[in-house]
Amino acid sequence: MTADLHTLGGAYALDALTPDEHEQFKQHLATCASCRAELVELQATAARLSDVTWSAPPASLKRRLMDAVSRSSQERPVNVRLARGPWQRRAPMLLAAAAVLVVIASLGTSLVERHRISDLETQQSALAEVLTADDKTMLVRRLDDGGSVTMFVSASLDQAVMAMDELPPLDDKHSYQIWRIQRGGPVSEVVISRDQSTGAVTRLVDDVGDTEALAITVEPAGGSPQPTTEPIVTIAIT
Amino acid sequence: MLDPVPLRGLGGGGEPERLESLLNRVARGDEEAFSKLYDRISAAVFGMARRVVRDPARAEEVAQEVFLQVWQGANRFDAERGSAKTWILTLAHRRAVDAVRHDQASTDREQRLDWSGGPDYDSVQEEVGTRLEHEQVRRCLQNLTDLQREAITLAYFGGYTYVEVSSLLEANTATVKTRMRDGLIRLRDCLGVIR
Repeated sequence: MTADLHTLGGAYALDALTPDEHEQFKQHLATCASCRAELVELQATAARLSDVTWSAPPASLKRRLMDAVSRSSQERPVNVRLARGPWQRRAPMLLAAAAVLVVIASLGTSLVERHRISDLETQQSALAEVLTADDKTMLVRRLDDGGSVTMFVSASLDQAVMAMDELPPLDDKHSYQIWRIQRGGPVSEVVISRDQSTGAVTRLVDDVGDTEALAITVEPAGGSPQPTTEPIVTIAIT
Repeated sequence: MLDPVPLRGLGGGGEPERLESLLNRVARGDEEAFSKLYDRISAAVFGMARRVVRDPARAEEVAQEVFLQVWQGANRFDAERGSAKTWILTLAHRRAVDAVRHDQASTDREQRLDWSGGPDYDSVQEEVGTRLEHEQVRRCLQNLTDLQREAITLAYFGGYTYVEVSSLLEANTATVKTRMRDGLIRLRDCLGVIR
């Protein structure tokens, strides 16, 4: 099995593995120093292939980027008052995911479909506000099956940002659903659609004052009126 | 007479600033460094993206996201794991491949089977300044076996998984995945890639 995994380095460097194998190989890399050393060289080699396809982009791309860059902040060290923990290495990435989302929303074009833009625009400033609030707290939960969920809560803003990073992919018969746990019981916050559920998903949650916790369950595709499975993660809002 | 000690990065002539050094300045929020970095590498990023996703507008979107990612995450660049160019092109290729797989789940993909006839990198318009690198890569690609070359170019420029490449080339998957690795190793040695 290990010998077999070792040979996947070439396909990995070419981004030619299936998603499952890609993850498998990534995990294998953590424990295989010779694979990492080889991969550095194979990735450098693959990058050289781009030498044969050089083509200057339209000048408008640079103008848009310079404009976006002058208006956007970069990743900064996370200012949290919690004890040091294994999540700290993860935090800048999640912040980056959120920051990229903010920047993308402020641009004229992006990979995101146009109809989502207006949604994002209304979220962007609120999202940034929570992430930079003086009183924000940050909680991170790693999931048993991979991926992690980070929650930033600002009591003064009465808002939370939930950032889901690399949740295990689901088949097309299931969706992730976020719930608010309130005194009256769980209330659906949102069903995460399949095309959103890969990579990082960031969700702004309003009016968290009387919410005791946020939880995520796996539900039949499209979501359920009430949770039908045990949560894969529950994060209490203190 | 040439100045025997070129003063790099001090504003005087000499060699252009290294990409790694530009990237370090970008990590500190230096917009001018970002602009220079863009000028140096955007044609590589955009050209590759255009080849992979085919549609120029889509390629522009991919390039835009890549450069925003570079701006936002320049502090994550780790020189131990390769050059700045490798880091940026690796990010870019991943994004281009994600885009093409997302877009072309079904029908369009079938229309791209003309790739099975072999890579047509000859037809790509090249820009000034890359001829030497271009020639070297082309020459080294010619040193590969047909199967190695086709497997690598279909994956890199076509965005195909090795499973898809296997069916396009009518070869078994284990062979294709092995050829991708030993082909890249041969290419590495031919190009003299150290890291």
